[in-house]
Amino acid sequence: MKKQFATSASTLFLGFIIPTLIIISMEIVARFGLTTNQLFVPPKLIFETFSDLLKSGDLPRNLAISTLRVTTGFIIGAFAGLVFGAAMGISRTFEDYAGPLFHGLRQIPVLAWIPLLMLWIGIGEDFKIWFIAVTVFYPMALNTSEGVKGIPMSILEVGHVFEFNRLKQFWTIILPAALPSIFTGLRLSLSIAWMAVVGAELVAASEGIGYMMYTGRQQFQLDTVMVCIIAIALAGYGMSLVMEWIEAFCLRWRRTVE
Amino acid sequence: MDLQKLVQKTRGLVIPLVILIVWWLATRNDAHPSPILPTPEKVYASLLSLLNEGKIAANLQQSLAKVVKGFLVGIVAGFILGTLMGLSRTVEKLFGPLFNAVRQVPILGWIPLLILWFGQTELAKVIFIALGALYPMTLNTFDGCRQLKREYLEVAQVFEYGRLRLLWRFTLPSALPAILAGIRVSMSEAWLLVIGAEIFFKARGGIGDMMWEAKERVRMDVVFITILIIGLIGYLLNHAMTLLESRLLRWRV
Repeated sequence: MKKQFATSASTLFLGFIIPTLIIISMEIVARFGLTTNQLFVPPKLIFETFSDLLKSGDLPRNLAISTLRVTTGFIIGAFAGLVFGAAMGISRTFEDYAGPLFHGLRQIPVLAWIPLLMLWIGIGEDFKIWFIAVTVFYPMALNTSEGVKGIPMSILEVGHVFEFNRLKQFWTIILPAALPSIFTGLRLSLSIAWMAVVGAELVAASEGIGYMMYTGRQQFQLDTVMVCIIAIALAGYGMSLVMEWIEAFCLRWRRTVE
Repeated sequence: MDLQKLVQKTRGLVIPLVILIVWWLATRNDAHPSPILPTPEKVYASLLSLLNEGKIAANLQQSLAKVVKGFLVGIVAGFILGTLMGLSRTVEKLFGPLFNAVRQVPILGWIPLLILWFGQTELAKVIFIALGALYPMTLNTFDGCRQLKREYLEVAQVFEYGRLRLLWRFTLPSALPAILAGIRVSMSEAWLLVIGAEIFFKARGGIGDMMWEAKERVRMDVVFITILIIGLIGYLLNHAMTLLESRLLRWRV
């Protein structure tokens, strides 16, 4: 799933045709005043707003706040999911006890937790972090447990032959063998975490990129909203690139990464 | 074997039962009941009265209507886009990068823009849900179309099939498993996003709105009930899609 579409020089060129056409036609519509609709934003204005918000520091500040929230929630949720998923994968008994509840709760769409968490935790910083952590926990736990369960018996037997203790078995055999699907979980979780932070900031925040969009919408500043959308997309994409580098680094021992 | 299954099943019930008992004990003797943790009895009583009033059914109906509309628009658009990109490298190169760039935007990020463009209308919500359903459908259809085996292409060449016939006879049937998986994922995405739409677009009606309203009035019992129902419906929708999948793929060996 990693490389959905081919990417080469010619592809890149063709890929720019339609976005360029869209931007040019939007600019033409704006220049010749073909529409008086205030919901139409000329590309030039988006660009100017972008640089204004960069200079004033509003955009970097809010983006940094959201990024920090994503990172914190992601680390908590991913770690919890990793431990829980590994436990379910390793121990049959643990899975018997905790599995049904886990799979039951997993059926609940993550956005449905927002009202409950708001009532229990309030609307402060904790709420956002916890909400992100909850959304990250499920895909992480699921991918880890499936990764551990998918380890071939022959690999596990190596540990028995060498008479590794449990901890050593986990660190030297189980964890590396499950690493590819753990990274699948991490990549998936990261994009979900970005969705979660936007959601949390849309309903309860006084700063952050989602809040910036929210106020932009209330004040009918379509350019600000557009700039925020682009900024979130770039930040999310940047973080997923970092994740891919980490993955490539950690999995460099594999001869073929997909 | 049967005994082992039974032991497994009972083990799964232990933690939920413990939670239920702790919950019951914790709220049993409260002279001043906590607003954010109602008693289990209260939740049960509220469930019965909500069911009796028909409130749950009415709200569910509104949510499901939105889901169906958004889902259908999303999968049809995703199917067309995915097939075109899957069949033609040129179309893929033209639209692929744009599609991938747009996909980087977290889906909830579109909400403020949709509100500005379309207002807090039914249309805005349906577009939002459709957009969410579009991504997995497009990707799956695309992958499925690309999985066509070379041998089939050769057979088609031998019989001098036209493009349409090749599509209908070989490409789509071999892509069917991926397409159906896309439909299933799109459906669960649509169900997630209808809850989002009802929370983030200040809309009246729907199970998500019912949950939000209960939150505003600090009716924790109703919040619990709506969460359970949302989870249950999500599960049933997914289950229905899985059944559909296995039924339509019966011909595969």
